[in-house]
Amino acid sequence: MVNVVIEPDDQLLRRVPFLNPDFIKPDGTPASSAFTPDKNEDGLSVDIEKLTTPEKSIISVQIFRLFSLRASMTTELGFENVHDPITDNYAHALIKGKFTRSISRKLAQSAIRVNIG
Amino acid sequence: MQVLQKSKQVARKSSAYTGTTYLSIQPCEWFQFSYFTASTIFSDNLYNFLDESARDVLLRINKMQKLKTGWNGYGAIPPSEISVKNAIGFVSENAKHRIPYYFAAPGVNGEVLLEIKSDDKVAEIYFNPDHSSELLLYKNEELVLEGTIEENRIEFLSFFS
Repeated sequence: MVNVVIEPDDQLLRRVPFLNPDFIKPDGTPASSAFTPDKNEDGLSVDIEKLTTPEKSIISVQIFRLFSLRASMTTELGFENVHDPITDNYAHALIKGKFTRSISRKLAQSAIRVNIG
Repeated sequence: MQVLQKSKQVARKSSAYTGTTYLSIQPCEWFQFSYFTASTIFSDNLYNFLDESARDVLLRINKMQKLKTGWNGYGAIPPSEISVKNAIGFVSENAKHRIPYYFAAPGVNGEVLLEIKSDDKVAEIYFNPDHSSELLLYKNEELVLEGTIEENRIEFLSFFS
């Protein structure tokens, strides 16, 4: 598979659970911990919007909401956006860099809800 | 103890019942908190003293205990018993301070996150599986303090006073 270059204007999509547990706060923003990579990840998993569709990326509208981050926003915070295709998901990418609690909050606060359908 | 009649009946029927505390959160719901220690058991007086935001985060924390690995659609692990116990303990021990809890969420690495909010002031407290904690205070979304809740309890309380 060919890796694509992630451009500054690209949108990066991340699923956020909103049922059991509910990660969406009363003001509509996701909790900071929704934008924190787990220890087994080499970065924060996202999908590159231009390589997928919101309907496919969200997997289940019953369980998740979809949020997007502008690629230039993450690079301005010192991160590197890397296309990382995986089995069954060519659009998969990783936001790589040093995640701190405050950075995760900044990402969560900056994320914009993507409406499906 | 804050006990609903229903939970008493269930407890009596259970042969495994060993005196675990049952705590009512909302009128029609009851939950078994199995992680209470002697210092975090809610007495009637303490439970009645909790405001709605504290009861709501307790409900959220309790639900986190049922999560399975991968609950976030990626690779998150469930909150650890230690994280849950310490988060509940924090709510219990600070009941008298009327902390304006805003949200509670699990972390992806076994933590429990409490968010406290009042106007333009926000605090995030992470209770980690290794017993450590992390406190972050924000004003107008600018980070103004980062440390542990143990070392910054006075600063935390005065931040919202």
